Order: sequence, then structure tokens, then C-alpha cells
Amino acid sequence: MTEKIFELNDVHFSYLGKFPALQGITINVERGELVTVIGANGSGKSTLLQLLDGLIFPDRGRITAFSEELSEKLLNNEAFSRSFRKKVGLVFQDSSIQLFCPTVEEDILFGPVQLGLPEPDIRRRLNQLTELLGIQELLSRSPHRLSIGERKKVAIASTLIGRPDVLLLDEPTAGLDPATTRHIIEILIGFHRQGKTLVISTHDLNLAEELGGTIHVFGHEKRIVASGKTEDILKDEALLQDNNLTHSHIHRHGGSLHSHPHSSATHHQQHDL
Amino acid sequence: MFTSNAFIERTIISALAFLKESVFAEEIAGRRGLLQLIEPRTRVIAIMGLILLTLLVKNIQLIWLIYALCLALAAASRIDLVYFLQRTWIFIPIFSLFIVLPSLFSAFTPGEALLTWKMFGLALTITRPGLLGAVLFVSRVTTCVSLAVLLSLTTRHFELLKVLSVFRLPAIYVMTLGMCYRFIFVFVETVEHTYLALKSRAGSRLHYRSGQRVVAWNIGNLWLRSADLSEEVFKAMVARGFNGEAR
Repeated sequence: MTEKIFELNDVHFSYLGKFPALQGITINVERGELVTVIGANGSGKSTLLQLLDGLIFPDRGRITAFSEELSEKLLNNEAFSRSFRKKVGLVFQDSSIQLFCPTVEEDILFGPVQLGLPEPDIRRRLNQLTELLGIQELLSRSPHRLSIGERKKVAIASTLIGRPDVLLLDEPTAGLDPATTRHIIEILIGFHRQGKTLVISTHDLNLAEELGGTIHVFGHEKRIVASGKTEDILKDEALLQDNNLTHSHIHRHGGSLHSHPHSSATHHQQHDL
Repeated sequence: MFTSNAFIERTIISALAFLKESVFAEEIAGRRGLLQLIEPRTRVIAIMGLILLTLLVKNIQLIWLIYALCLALAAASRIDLVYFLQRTWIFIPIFSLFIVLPSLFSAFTPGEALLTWKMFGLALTITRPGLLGAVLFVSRVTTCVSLAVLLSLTTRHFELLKVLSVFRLPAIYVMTLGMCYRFIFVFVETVEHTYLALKSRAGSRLHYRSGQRVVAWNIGNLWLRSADLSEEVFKAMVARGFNGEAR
């Protein structure tokens, strides 16, 4: 029987009590599942991840994590908070915000030090991770002197070092060059193969297609408008276009102009024909 | 760029210069010079000791000896001496010279007259004790400033923060100082981007009234962004297990 990691039931959230960010979200995330949340800018994806990470709390509805209802009171309980933070890691969309320490090394070590992990374990994990991500040379640098791609890798390292069972990633490949994107996708796929649970928000359909798994589409009304297997959802051109996830793409084939919706799945299928 | 209101542009350029300067200073701290190879805590304690000694001794020759040692250490630490002298002599020693100027004269420091001249019917006399006191003061300020600059150039800011914890400063203060330093760069970058965006759209000249309005709006905007940023950073800290107590 599958174990539910998160259960969201009719979750509503608004900023300052008047700007709705999520309306009536009901989804489940099971252990070992790979869930991708896609939607246009401002559709509520980041808010959802912050709710799952217990950083903000719903105005209405329930979020259950590891069979306990997430609430501010529960997260203020030190024992629960420590256990929850060890199990769940969030990579923020803006790495500049996530990296707040004077050096890269201190930033990566911040989480495990706060959670009181033994020093030798922390050092061993640091060595493994920096090698995996190819960031050994960056350890003594200041985060402000890193490129966007380097910052993103360091932000991922700072979350992975806690070895969370559940990894929440907010736009993990946004603004990255193709080589860095490729490297990060491979790391995420490897992480999922180890049996970890991943919830990823993106509007990059190539990334969603490559990762596979379950997909939820967020619409303009800050609600989920469709859910299902990635391959089925990405075939639904009307759905993607209605929700600003594809656009008409015109390019030249030989001497004539050719137009089709620009989504990863449809794009590849049309070119294969 | 801002006609009749160059102070705004100068402020922005100074903010950007701070960024470049700090990057250059970090490059010096990374060189393989004499001081850079010494363990940071030892380095800080040794230089602080020299500063204390300079403040306590009254023998000018000894202070000059410490200053000569400071210059030798700067050279051995692969710091360009012209750059070092520019950094250490431009402001504080020159200001200290102005401060000490009145004490040269017999009206404030009586004693053996060295030089006397008349100006607007007043006899001005520089006395030996006045001159010696002024030289001692300026030498002391210059040596202390030079040692402090030498320490800051050869030590990365995070190493200085680590040294603070050796002096038993609570971890939360050290962490807050480190984060302040880190986010100064985020804001300086924001100022730089705003300045470049303005320059690209307004060309090389902007009426000072428009300039003032744009700058005032951006100051307010930066303030709001800093409030948002602090909230986001706090969330990022909580997400990684921070519970209000720095470790």
C-alpha cells in the first residue's frame, strides 16, 4: 500500500488576506512519487511549495504531512519541526535569497549545523555533494560572486546535504544554460531513482516531459484545471494553450514557413512526422 | 548624467565603487603573501596588539618603527605599496592633521618657540612641544589606520567574522553581521541595475528634477524590497531548520 506524504484538501491561500494565490487545491503526494506542477507565471506554484514546506499556512482547508495536519502551532514544536525539516527540503526559485551566508561552504553547511548533525557526517556529505555538483572550487567564494547556474547548484547542494526524503523544487532550471540544465535534470532523475519524493514547479514543458510522473496544471484562477500522467497532459494542446503554457511557433522548413503550437511534446512529435 | 545635481550620480558611482573595491580587496586577501599565510586568528590578534602598542607608546621613533614594519608587512603580503599608501593617507591622517593644527601654536601649547611670523597684526608662534605633540598624534593615527587597512586587505570578511566568535561574541550577532555584509551586495547590485536601466533609457543627461523624483522613488522601492527580502530570507532559513537560535 502506498504511503501518503502530503494530502491537501480544499486549500485556499491569499496574500495579505485579499490577493488570492490558491483556491480550492485538493491533491495527494505519495512516497516515491514524482509530481510536477505546471502553470503560467503567477498561477500559485511557488505558494503551493511554500505551503507544503510549512513556511506559510492555508486560510482555509487542510494540509496533512506525514499524517499530521500542518499548522503554525505544530511547526513551532521543536521536535516536530526538526524532524519535518530533516525530511523535507525546498529549493527556492531565487537562489540569491536562499544563499544568505558569507561563503558558499557556510551556506551549504547551514542546514545540517542548525539541525545538529554530527560534524564528521556533515563533512563527508559536503565532499560527496560538491563532487557530484562540481562545485569544489566555489566553497570559499561569496555567493554574490557566483553565476546564476553556480548559485542554483549551491542552492541545490544546501538542500540535498540534509538528505531529505522529499525534495520540493521551485523552477529548478529557470534561467540556466543548456549544460547546467542538463546536469540538474540528471541529478533530479538520480535522486528520484533512489526512491525519493519530488515535487517540482515549472513552466518548462521540456523539463516536465523529461521528468515524467504525475502532473498538475494550474490555471489563471489559481486552481488546478487538470491532473494526470505527463504524457497525457502534454498531448492536450488546447489545455496548454488556454493556460499560457504554449504559444504558436513559426519557423522555416526549406523555402516555406511552418507554424505549430510550441510545446515540447507536440513540437517533437510534429518534427518526427 | 543628472544635470545640476551631480551628487546623486556621485552617490551611485560610489556605491558601485564599493562593490569593485571589495572584489579587489578579496583578490588581495586570496594572494599567497606573508600575512595571508598566517592563521586568521593569529593575524588579527598580532595586528590588534600592534595597534594597541601604537596607542600606548609615547616614543615617536618607536611608532615610526611600527609604521615601517607595517609597510614591510604590506610589501611582503604582495600589496602594491602605492595603492596601500593611497588608501591609508587620503582621508584620516589628513583630517587628523587639520584637527591637530591649532595645538602647534603657542596659544594652545606654550613652550620653546621654533618659528614666529605675523599675520593681520597677530604674532603666530609654533612651539617645540606643539610640533612634537602634533607629529606624535598624526604618526599614531597614520600607523593605526595603516595597520587596520592592512588587516582588512589581507583578511577575508568571513575570516574576520570567525575571529569575532573567538572573542565570544554571540553566534546570532556574528550570523547577522555576515548576512548584512552578504545582502549589501544584493542591494548594491540592485542600485547598479537601476542606474544602468535609467542610463539606457534617459541617455546621458536627465533634468535634475526628474532625477530627484526617480531617485526618491527608487529609495522607497528599495526599502520595500528590503522588507520583502528579509521575509523571504527568513523563510529560507526556517526551511533549513533555523528555529531562532544560531548555532
